[in-house]
Amino acid sequence: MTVQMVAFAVKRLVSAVLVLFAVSILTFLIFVAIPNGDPALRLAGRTATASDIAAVRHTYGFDLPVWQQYLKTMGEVLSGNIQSYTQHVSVFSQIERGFPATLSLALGAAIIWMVLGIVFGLIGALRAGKASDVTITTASFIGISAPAFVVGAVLLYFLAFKLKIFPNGGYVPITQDPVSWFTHLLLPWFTMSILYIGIYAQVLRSGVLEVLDADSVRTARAKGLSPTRVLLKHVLRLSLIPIISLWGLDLAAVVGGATVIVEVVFNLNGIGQYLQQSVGALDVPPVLTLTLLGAFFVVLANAVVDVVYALLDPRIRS
Amino acid sequence: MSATDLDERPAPEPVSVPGAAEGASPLQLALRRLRSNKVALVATVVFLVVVVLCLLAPVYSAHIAHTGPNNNHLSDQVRVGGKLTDVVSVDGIPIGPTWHSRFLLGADTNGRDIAVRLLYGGRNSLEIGVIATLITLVGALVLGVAAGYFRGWTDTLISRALDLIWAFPALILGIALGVSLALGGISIGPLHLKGGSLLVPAFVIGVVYIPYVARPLRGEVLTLREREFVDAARILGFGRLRIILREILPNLASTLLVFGALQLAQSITLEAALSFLGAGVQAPNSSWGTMLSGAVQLVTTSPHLTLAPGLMLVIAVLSVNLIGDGLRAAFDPRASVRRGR
Amino acid sequence: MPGDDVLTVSNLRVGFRGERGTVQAVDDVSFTLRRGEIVSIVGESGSGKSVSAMTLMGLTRSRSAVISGSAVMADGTDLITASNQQLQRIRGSRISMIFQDPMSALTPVYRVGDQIIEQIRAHEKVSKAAAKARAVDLLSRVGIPRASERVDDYPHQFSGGMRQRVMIAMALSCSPEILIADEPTTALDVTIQAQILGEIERLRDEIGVSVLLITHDLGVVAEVASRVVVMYSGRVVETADLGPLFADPMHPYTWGLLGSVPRVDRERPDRLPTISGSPPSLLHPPTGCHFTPRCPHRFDLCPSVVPELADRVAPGHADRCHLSVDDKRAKRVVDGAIGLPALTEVPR
Repeated sequence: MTVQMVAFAVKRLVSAVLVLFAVSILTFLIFVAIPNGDPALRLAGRTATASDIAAVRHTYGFDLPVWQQYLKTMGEVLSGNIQSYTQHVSVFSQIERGFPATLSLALGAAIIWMVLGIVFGLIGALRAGKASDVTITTASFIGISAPAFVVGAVLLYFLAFKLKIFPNGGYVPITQDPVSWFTHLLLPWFTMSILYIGIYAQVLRSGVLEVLDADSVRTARAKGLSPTRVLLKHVLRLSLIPIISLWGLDLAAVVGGATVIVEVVFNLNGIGQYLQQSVGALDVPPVLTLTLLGAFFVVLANAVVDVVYALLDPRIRS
Repeated sequence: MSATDLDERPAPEPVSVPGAAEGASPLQLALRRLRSNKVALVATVVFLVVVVLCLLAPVYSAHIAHTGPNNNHLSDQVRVGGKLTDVVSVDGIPIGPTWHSRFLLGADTNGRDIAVRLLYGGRNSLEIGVIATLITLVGALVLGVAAGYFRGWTDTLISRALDLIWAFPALILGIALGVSLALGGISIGPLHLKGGSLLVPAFVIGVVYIPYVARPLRGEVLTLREREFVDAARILGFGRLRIILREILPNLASTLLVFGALQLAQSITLEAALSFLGAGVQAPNSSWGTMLSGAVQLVTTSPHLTLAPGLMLVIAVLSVNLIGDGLRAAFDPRASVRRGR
Repeated sequence: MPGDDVLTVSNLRVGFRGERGTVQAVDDVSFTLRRGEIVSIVGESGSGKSVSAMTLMGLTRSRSAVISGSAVMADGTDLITASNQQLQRIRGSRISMIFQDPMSALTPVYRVGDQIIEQIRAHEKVSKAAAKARAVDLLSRVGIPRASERVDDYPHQFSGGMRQRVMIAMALSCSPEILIADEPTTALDVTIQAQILGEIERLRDEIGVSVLLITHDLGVVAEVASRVVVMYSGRVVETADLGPLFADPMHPYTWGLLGSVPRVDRERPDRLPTISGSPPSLLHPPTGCHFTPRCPHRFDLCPSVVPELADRVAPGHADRCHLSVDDKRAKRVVDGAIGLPALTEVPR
């Protein structure tokens, strides 16, 4: 780790903080300051009465200047005190309850799709044009095009309900029963991964095909290296670089709540499902907080990925 | 032999050599490749069939199904295989596909004809997808070209703004915007949209994807800018606007076309997801996504409620994805996802 | 022993089967490389010179490639019929190759020293430390300053010329008998070009490696080669020692090549002389002699009969042209110098 690398990392982290600040402002604007309709009406939710609306107006201080409103709201979010308006519970406690499910789903799926994506992508590239490649590519396209909620619902119906191979949804904490935790997550993991396996397999496949033609690989062959060594140390090493950064970004998006759909279909009660329920009730404080959380993970991942990329590809460091 | 003798000799004719390679313009090459791409052609046909079917929704509704998308038939009965059955049974379970003109694909819990709703909802899904894609392309083009060509402060400003939108996972930003605008609608300058308008989800989806297209476009403009033909145009005294219109834009055409197709697939998918979650199309409008929203919980009793819109979604998105990949292969065979050796 | 044949290539043919037919990239190529020689293969793009070289290394083998002929090394090994395993052992240890673009030829994510060590350890049982010491020594021998520090640098930290030197060092790391250099200077500045060529010559003198230098540049040929093989459209059209090739060329294509180089000792022409037309398609080549459509001296025998590659003027000086030696000597002079007049009619 040279001074150069450390300076690079620090710069990225600083700019990440600035972006988060800007994200918070934008999120705030989306929910509170968009100049149309009565913000109190919107914040009070669909089921509000007239006195609720008046209370909201007072609590949120819509008579205050916008920037003061912003500071007040952000203060609540950052101190963890933000309250859901329709349920009178702390948003953060709800997030704490749901996070393990989301994390289990996200991490498990991310590992599965990364490994399978690389395996299928490699097979597809090395057997390009042959039957196995065509099958993999076709399956990838279907995986990319089939929405997760359809896939999940279909799997739930056939494999869980009809054939009873898998449980009917729900989440079991790992601390409670590891085996159950595992079996309950299998279908959700698979549903979540299908889309990404398709994408990663295709990205890696094109990447490998391109690198196979590269001058540096030709040189490696001309050096008399064994085909295995050429493949692993030269071809894969080069083609994996873009995949790893992609994976970092996708993982962040998924941990930050893009698991919504799968959670809803399988009733896992993670933060994604919490987001969806809040959306349904037009309960804005949770939506606001979860949006910020999601953005936070993405920004963090961006910075980490940049650093990792520089570690993997020395050309970037200069 | 003096210099003047050399001047008077006729210039050597360009010699045509039998068997020399023929030339063709990039567009001709692309069309040729596209025409021989069977998969893309089939996908195009399939997609057109879907579009036409959805456009013919009123015709189907009036002449075949004899019912509208919002007409409840809770207490009606229909003849199935000779027997008279309740459209919606006593325990609230709707009838499955009859494969006849009435309730071809079955009914939903409100007794509405699924096939009719599928076509009407499809119109909305496709319409939103197309409009969102147009918004994305136009927005990305303007911002990408401005940032890439003018650079300096313009670039910094635009790039930071795009980074900001990029920081939100697309689904979450879509949900946030969708919720916020669903009630109050949009009032930006001359643009006034009511909360329940179809254009609101279109606007949201369109804007969410702008950074994903603007960034690559900006990169291409940065490269094109340094090319010799742009230098040549500058030396000839062309103004900046003229250079952009005459030199830069035509070279972006093929990229835009490919992006257009892929974005259409993405937009249709995102609309379905947002509507599924309640942050997209709002009642009384419907789309494939809204149809799926209630259907998923009932998948164990009435799988047809999920399968009908689900399959339509997959077919539509898959065919557009294949068209997009076909276009990509046509313009740059090396970039195609399906390229073989 | 000087004068020994290090490589004898006979009737090499390489075709690639495709949807629209077979592309015959190399059609009946024969030449010899003697110990300590620098033999240059000259030709334009599409002449088959690179494919021939890659085939010697076994790098063109694939399901669509049809390869025949022989390429026999000093110990009797035939590179064309050797198994993939045998070839893999020969590549990098007995025959090495360096390529045209040093910018992209080295893997960017590994240190330069590690890439040399990798080659050494692939062929010899040597410890990492010993291999590294050899790498440092090689780098300094090819003229890279501060080799012991530079050995840990990445490829992008070197300039183009330096990178090509690294390539040369790597190629010579296992003391091969033959070095194939495919357009090693084309991507470099003219001044660096001279340095690299000098480097190759010096190493040939020091180590005794035989060099097959592939180029399209006659200047490079004149600088370092002792024998020249001229290729056109997949075929060898002329083979000679350097002197006789320039002084007594026996093929119209060679006259065209020589004539198109601007000359310092003559008046500047208003137009640079060129060879009319463009190289033929390798998918549907012309019948008979491939050069016929572009040859101002063609006659009725040319499109119907493929000329044999034979020693017509002197032993060791072979050419593929039906014209008699006297006719050639008369026709090759244009405006007082060797060249090729322009074609004035469109060919049938």
